[in-house]
Amino acid sequence: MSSSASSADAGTIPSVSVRNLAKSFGPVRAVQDVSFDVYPGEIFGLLGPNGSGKTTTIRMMLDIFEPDKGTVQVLGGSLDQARKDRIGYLPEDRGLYKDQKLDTVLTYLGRLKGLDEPTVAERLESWLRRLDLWEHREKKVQELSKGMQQKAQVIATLLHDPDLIVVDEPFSGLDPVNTRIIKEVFDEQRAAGKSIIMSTHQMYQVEALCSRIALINQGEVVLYGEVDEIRRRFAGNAVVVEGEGNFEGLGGVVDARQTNGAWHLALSADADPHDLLRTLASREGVRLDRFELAEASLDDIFVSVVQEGDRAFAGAGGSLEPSATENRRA
Amino acid sequence: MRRLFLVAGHEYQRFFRRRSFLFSLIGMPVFLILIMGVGELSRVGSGEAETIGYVDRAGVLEPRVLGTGAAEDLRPEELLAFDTEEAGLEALADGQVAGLVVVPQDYLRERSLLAYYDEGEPGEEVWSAFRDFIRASLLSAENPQVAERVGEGAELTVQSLQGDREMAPGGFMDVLLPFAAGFIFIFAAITSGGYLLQTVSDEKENRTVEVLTTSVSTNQLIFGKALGLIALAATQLLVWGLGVVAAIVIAAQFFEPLAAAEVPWVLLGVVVAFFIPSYLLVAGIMITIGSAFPEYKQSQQVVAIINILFFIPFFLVTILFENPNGTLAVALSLFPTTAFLTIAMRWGAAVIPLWQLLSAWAILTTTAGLSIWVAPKVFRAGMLRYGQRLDLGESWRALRGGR
Repeated sequence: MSSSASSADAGTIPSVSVRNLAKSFGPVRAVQDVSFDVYPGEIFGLLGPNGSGKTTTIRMMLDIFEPDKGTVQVLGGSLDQARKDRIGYLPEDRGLYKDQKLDTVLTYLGRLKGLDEPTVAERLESWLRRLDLWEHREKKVQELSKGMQQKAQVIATLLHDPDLIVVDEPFSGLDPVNTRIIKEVFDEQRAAGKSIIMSTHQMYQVEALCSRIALINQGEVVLYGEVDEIRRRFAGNAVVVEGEGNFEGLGGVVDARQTNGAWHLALSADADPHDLLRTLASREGVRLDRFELAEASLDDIFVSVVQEGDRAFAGAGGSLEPSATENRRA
Repeated sequence: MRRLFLVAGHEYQRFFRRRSFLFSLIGMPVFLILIMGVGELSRVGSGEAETIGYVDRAGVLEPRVLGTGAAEDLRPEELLAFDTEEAGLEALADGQVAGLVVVPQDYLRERSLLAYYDEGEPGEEVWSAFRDFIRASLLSAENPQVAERVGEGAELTVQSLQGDREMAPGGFMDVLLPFAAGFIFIFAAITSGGYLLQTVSDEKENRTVEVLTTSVSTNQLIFGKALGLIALAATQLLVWGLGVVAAIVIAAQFFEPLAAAEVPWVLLGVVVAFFIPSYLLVAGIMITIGSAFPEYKQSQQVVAIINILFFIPFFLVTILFENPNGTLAVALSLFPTTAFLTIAMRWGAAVIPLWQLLSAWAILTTTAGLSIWVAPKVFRAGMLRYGQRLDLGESWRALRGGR
């Protein structure tokens, strides 16, 4: 994990404060009860399975949707034009005009954020050169590769030097080299005191970048807090097993996958690894060569929490309510 | 306001650079000018063989009237008299004349003429001028003023009782302009409305709208788009208008009624007054439909039906000209989508009462304002409904203030 947690702690006034958000579309309750805070100088992970309500939450936060219930405070108040100019948003899909030249589109989006033309030109050249798009600036967006379009979208998000950066699946379509470049960019922004909200399914990116997370499932926050603390809390909720026999269909195991000959078994929140060891030892046709507690990854925690739907566990951990974190900060 | 103009400028440039737009922008006037130019060239090219021969068996033709009065279009050198039909036909075969007209002995009783031609029939204007020659010859013994009145007929000026509207005689432009205005309006509405629909649908489908609405308000976005596309339509009208003027200037060289025509400024004023709210109405409808439907293709199907509401006067052109002040004509004038075309078409055929003009304009402008008021609300409610159509209930809630 990055050192961003300490930076986040430095800020006491949240950049974003979301309280009890709810939104329905007809009979579908997309978001039921979502609350969290994001502080300056941190990268905050907004996680959840498909259709959990992450993107709807982001859209309510950015005033694209009006919530049915709840409040949003962004950069110290409600979202007016001045605050909109301090936000950079990268939507899940590429929000660029495909039939226009790259520099035309980016200049337009920069100017809509209040920049004058010379400033846009100056910053645009710097960003295009840095992300290896300078040679492609005259091309139409649709002529660029998926990765190039994603980098262009990152430029559109950061061109006006926003204080709050909201990125939805920012690494989508990027190769490892460009992924690393964009990660460096985000880390720089965090170090400069910007608040970054990142929504992604790539848990290893969350582990690498985020200091805190909120996991949304079925429209509600089911896990909320600092990544290190959450991983500590969930330690022992996965085991690595090697040997012969059938390691699937075991009680208390919510996910079993085999990698390089070893089985990685994610346990439900209330499962005990010792019980699992006893079950395996007594299971017919199973020979155990290795059994050890796995370091809890966010991936395991994600699967465990989502599949179990164990909100009670998260509540018992005292991390469902944002106030727990706020109190600690205070 | 700065952002609104930024959006307008962007929309304008985006669509102005499209090949399809440039093609229609330049293609239409070039086409018109070419048509007129070709007409002029064909007239000039066929000028050498326009001498007409005639054989006057009835003894009614008077060559001294040529070039005067009703026969002013024919000059003496353009006519060659022959004593016999055989001599005339021989001259026709030799190419000395382009045609031969035989006036039979019983012409005064039967009214029939016989005309011959060899290669390429002389134009209708030649035969028409020859008929004028006969008319002028028959009236040559009359008082010249009487002869002229018989030749030219009466001029009728229709005026309303209050004197507020008048239809002048010989208003060639009064008939031509409504059709031209209708043609231009439909093209401008179809192309610009189509662009507007496409831009709204595209931004919704590729989610550019999410980025835009975190930079500008929905109203800035929608009004900016409408403004940009009005500027685009204005450019189109200006270029097409110049094209029409150029075509008329060329056509006036060989088509006399055009040269004598006066510019009907009042009609032009009415056209402009009705065109702007009509265009806003189209813009509002297109944005609303583009917002309410998840895909461009679905929107297009609905728009095809909506377009018919604007085209109705064209389908009913015969009825409107036969009874330009009838109930149907008045009803269509007062209905917002058909007001512009109906008023334009009735203009050349009748005196439209002032109250109808003002009522039609007021209803149209109010409806246009309503459509522009509705558009951002439906846009806001529907812009992120990927894969789902906005139903009537949701639209109604959006209009009442919810999102």
